[in-house]
Order: sequence, then C-alpha cells, then structure tokens
Amino acid sequence: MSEVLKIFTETLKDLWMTSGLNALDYKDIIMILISFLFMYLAIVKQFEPLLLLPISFGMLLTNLPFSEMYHPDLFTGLNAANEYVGVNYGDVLHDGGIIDILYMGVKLQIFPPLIFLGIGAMTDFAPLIANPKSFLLGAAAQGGIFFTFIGAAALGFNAAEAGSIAIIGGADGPTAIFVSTKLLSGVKSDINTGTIALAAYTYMALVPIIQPPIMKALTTKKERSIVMQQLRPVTKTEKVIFPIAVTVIIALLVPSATPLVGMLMFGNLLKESGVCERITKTAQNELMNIITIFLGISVGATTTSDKIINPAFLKVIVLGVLAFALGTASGVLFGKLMCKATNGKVNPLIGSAGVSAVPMAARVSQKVGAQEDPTNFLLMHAMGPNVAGVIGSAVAAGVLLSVVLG
Amino acid sequence: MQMEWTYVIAVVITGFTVVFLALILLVLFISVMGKFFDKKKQENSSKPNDDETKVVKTQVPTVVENIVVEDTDEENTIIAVISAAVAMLGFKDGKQYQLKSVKPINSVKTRKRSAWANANAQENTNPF
Repeated sequence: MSEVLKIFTETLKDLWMTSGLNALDYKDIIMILISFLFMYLAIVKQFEPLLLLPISFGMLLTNLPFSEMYHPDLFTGLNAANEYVGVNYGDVLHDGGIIDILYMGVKLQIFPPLIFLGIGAMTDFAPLIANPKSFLLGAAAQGGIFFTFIGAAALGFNAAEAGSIAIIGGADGPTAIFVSTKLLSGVKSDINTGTIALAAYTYMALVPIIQPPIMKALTTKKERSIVMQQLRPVTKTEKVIFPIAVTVIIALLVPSATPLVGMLMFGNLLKESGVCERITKTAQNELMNIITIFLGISVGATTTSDKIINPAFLKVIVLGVLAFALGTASGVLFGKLMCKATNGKVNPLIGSAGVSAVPMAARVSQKVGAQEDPTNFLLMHAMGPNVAGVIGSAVAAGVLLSVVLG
Repeated sequence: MQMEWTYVIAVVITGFTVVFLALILLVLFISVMGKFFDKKKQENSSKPNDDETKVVKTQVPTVVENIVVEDTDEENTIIAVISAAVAMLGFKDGKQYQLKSVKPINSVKTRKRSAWANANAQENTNPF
C-alpha cells in the first residue's frame, strides 16, 4: 500500500514539475492577460479581427509555459560564440514546433508577398487610373514613415529598429512585417516583428479614431465641402496594362520593392485579365485566408514577454501613433496644395486616404466629407490615393531596405 | 548604435525623393496612357455606327425582333433591352413608343447626378 502511495505522490510531483502552472511567472500572466485584451478587441470591438485574433491567440500560445510551439532561440541566427551566422532552417525543421515551422514563412519573406498577391487580386485600381494624380497623395502620405524615422532616431533606436518602427506609418501590415523581418535579422534588439505587427494592426484598426480630428484640424469647412468631378470610365485594356507597367517601372527603379509590388500587381493582372478566374478566386479567398492564418498566428507567437514588457515596446506604441498621425497630416496638407493648384477641384480630405489601410482610410475620407455635405460622395475619389498608398508604402519599404541594409 | 543626424536626414531626403520620383513616373505613364485611350475612344465614337443607328431609330416592335439577332456589341444589347422594356409598356396601354436616343448620364458634360442617383449613392455609402 505504501508503495502505491509513493508512486502516486511521485507521479503527482512529476506532473506538477512539468506543468505550466509550476513555471508560470508574473510576466507570463501579464502577457496572457494582454492576449485576452487583444482577443476582446478583435471579437467584441472587431478591431481588424482577421489578423488581430490569430495574432492574439499566437501570443497566448507562446506565453503558456512549456507549450513548445515557438522557440525564439532557433531564429536568432547566433552561434555558440554569439556571432551572427544566419538561421539554420534544418534545425528549425528538426527541432521546431508547429509555429516555428509556420514562422519560417515570415522569416523567409514568403507570407507578406503572398498576402500582397491576394490584395492585388481583390483591388480595383480604376479610380487611380482614372485620376493618376492620386499617386502624389499616396506618395505624400508616406511622410509618416520618414518623419517617424527621425522620431525613432531621436529616441535612440538604431537604423534597423528605426526603419522597422517607421514603416508602421505605411499603415500596411504585410509591408511592416516584411520590412521589420528583414531589417531586424541578426540585430540584437528589444523589439521584433511581433511588436511591430501588433502596433501596426492595432493602429490600423484605430484609423477611424486617429484620422478625423487631424483631418478637421488641417482643413476649412469650405475645403471639406468641395465636390469633386466624377471620374472618367477606365477601359479594360488600361486595367490590364496598369499592373504590367507598374511592375516594370517600380522594379527597375526600386528593385528591393519588387517582391511586394510585383506580387501585388501579379494578383491584379490575374483579376483584370479576366482569363484566370479560378486562380483569381483562389488568390482572393483560399490562399489569402490560409496565409492570413499562418501569418497571424506565427507573428503573434513572437510576442514573448521580453519583447512586450520593456520600455522599447512603449516607445514603439508612441512612435506608431505618431507615424499614423504624421502620415495623415502629410496627405491632407498635400491635398490642400493640390486643391490650391487646381483652383479648388481637389477635396483635401482624400489626401488622408494615402496612408494605405485599404479601404478603411478611404471610408474615413467619405465619412468626414459627408459630415459637411451629406450629398458629397468622396469614396471613389479617396480610393485612388488609398490604393496609391499601397504602392507608395511598398516603394518606401524598398527604399528603407536598400538604404538601411546598404 | 545610435545614428548620426546627417545619416538620418539623408535617409529621409532619399526616401522622399525616390518615392515621389517613382510615383511621378507612374503618374506620367498613366496620364499618357489615359489620353491615348480617350483619343481612341473619341475616334471610335465619332465614326457612325450603322447598326446602332438602326436600333435606336427603329419602331419598338421591330426592335423586339432585332433582339433575336445575336449581337456581340454590349452597347447595342443594352439599347435593345431598354427598347424591349419600352415595348412592354406599349403592349400594356395599346400605344406605340419610339426610343429616340440613349445618352450616358456620366458623360463629361453632364456631371451632376439626378436626385435618384444621389439617393442611390447615399444609400450605398451610408455604411461607411
């Protein structure tokens, strides 16, 4: 009987020693609570739920002790002498958990371009083709990226970290993940792709709250009431030529932007050609959804307590909101300039849509415009700078990569 | 390692210049392309289209018969459908109607929306 009792107590002891409850420390508990907060925001408040929910669940999984799903050590790329030798993907496949294996798609920059393929297959560039000047608003709104780069430098971040934080201003999740993964590879830093993605997607969800006060503060009632001329119809041939031309021009000018712009335009060509219906549907739905799940959960898993519970993350949060605000302001101010140059034919409110965040930013332009004049429909006009912002942020990402990585 | 300010300013200036340069090139290309296609469209529309004239000027019952003919031209098909709808109106009250012209409401000259179009656009954009 005493033998049975001994085995019983030892088994219980072993179970306790290997249980997560025994290893749980206060940092894990804080992270689990933060993951619950983001799940609440995604499910109840519907803040970018398609990505924030997988990200927050990935955060939960990675912070549960002994879950063995994600091993950050496998991705540091450091050898025993603490020198950077690159990630050994053989080790990841051999020793990694499911999230390690999925995270290879992020680390090898596969998922963000594939997301861009899906976005391209879903995007109608007709408003941009009909009014190509919208490209300028898409370029101006990238001011958020470059001005935040200055802010990050002022706060003491190095070039790779500053570039990763600044790209949040592009208001484009896949671009932010793509750039931060590349820039932070082999860099010893308190921030990582997970923290950048978390800030980017949270602020993207907050676009309807962040943008309107800035738009109203920088424009007059008269400017907000400007009714723009209807856009000209765009032919199918123009729609087919557009993605090919954009790919050639951007790839020749900024080759480092090609993975994003090239895939975006490939997706769009599939859609506009009208001859690849099955592939287009797959890119728009199944592929996009699968990659979204993989990307979300694996990026979420990188948000370990040491990356979130530190002062650097607070700085990222502050700089992230600054990036969005500066991007919005740059777009609106350039819109005002275009308004003056065209004798009042451009409503400056459409400038804020240049921050990307499709189609949320365009909806905000429509909403703020409709508050002044309910019969003023700016949505289609704002879609031009909005989709130009996607191309603009990809180009800005390419520039950051070439300048920072050399 | 903290960055030097000259490097930071250089990154910002380079970034802005390259982004604007790339997008200005796209503006130029797409503007030229748009003008080319507009010109081509104008040339096409200035040429008289015998089939179209026939459909527009024909009495309603004849138009209904014309629909049977396989027509690949999308515009003609739409006009035929409109004519058929008008013909149905004629069958109801015993009168004959003639469709004289069909004009696009989104032409450059008539940019103002009708009250119905306004109401429709408002309803569609309300959720935003």
